[in-house]
Amino acid sequence: MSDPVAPALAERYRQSLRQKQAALAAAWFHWLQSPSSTERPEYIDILHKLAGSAPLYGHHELGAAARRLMEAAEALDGLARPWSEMSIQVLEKRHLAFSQLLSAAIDAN
Amino acid sequence: MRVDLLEDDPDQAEIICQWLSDEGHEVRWSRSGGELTRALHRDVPDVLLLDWVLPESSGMEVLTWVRQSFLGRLPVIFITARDSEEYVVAALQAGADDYLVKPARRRELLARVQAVGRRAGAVQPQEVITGSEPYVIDVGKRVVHLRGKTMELTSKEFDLAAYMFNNAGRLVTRAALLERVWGRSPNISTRTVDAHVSRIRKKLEIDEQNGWRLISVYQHGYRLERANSPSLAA
Repeated sequence: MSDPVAPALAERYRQSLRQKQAALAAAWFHWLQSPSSTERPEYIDILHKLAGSAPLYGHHELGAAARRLMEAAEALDGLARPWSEMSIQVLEKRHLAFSQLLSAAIDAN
Repeated sequence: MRVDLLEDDPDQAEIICQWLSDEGHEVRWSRSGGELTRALHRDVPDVLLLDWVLPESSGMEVLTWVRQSFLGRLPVIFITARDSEEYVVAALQAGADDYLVKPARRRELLARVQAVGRRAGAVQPQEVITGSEPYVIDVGKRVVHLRGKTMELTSKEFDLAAYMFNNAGRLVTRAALLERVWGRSPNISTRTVDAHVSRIRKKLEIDEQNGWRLISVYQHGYRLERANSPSLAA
């Protein structure tokens, strides 16, 4: 069961998704191109926040998808670079599917 | 209750703060471990909610600091997206009192906050403390009555009396009183605690005739107990 959210808050969150989508796209490319680092990649950080926040505002499917993508990205991030082309392509496909889910949430009224 | 929330995501913090405020709790939000530790030095809450993944220091590092600091047994609940058994066990072994997996659910979060606060003996808002007869401790109106007569207390004396009656039968250390009643203000010494305890004993007429005794436990603190209970004081 969904917890009630004030309509104004829910709408503000929905509007913020566009900016989050853009940040996620930028973080995706940055993550793929940057060298290995001990710091948590921004891409994973954005997904982590979306996994926590989206269900609070009623976007349960989006939250669950963010969580699954975050776990897949964490698994890849734990591997030594360079990553295989196939691994990147598999994750990219999931990244694009998630971005479409984000678009649907942005366009929903 | 006073609740501190450590959460770096404003979207999540806003909803959780609203849930807690709507329930009558006083909420303070910190975005980082550093911000939280500065806040805790100013005032100690009844319950602390910690996110695990944070930009500067992890919630686990904050928990470790809390357990080693003057805060001692401050009740801590982890709220985190990490749901594996390994993480739950690690958090509980590090001293967390409870663990909540994100996404947080309103009723569950409120119930868990209430439960850990109750176990820790936090004073609830809008509540008359039960089991304190012939005294009536009205926390909502912040007054104490003895057989219908209103007792004159300062605000701090009331806080102290409410805390003692809420923890009747238990040993309450001076350090705990400093934290819970004074919020660990740096200018307050344990002598102030002793002076206030002495004053509430006198002002509330806590004695055998009224069925209670407020005893000093050497080098530890105080215990408020029924006059007919066997005293454990040395």
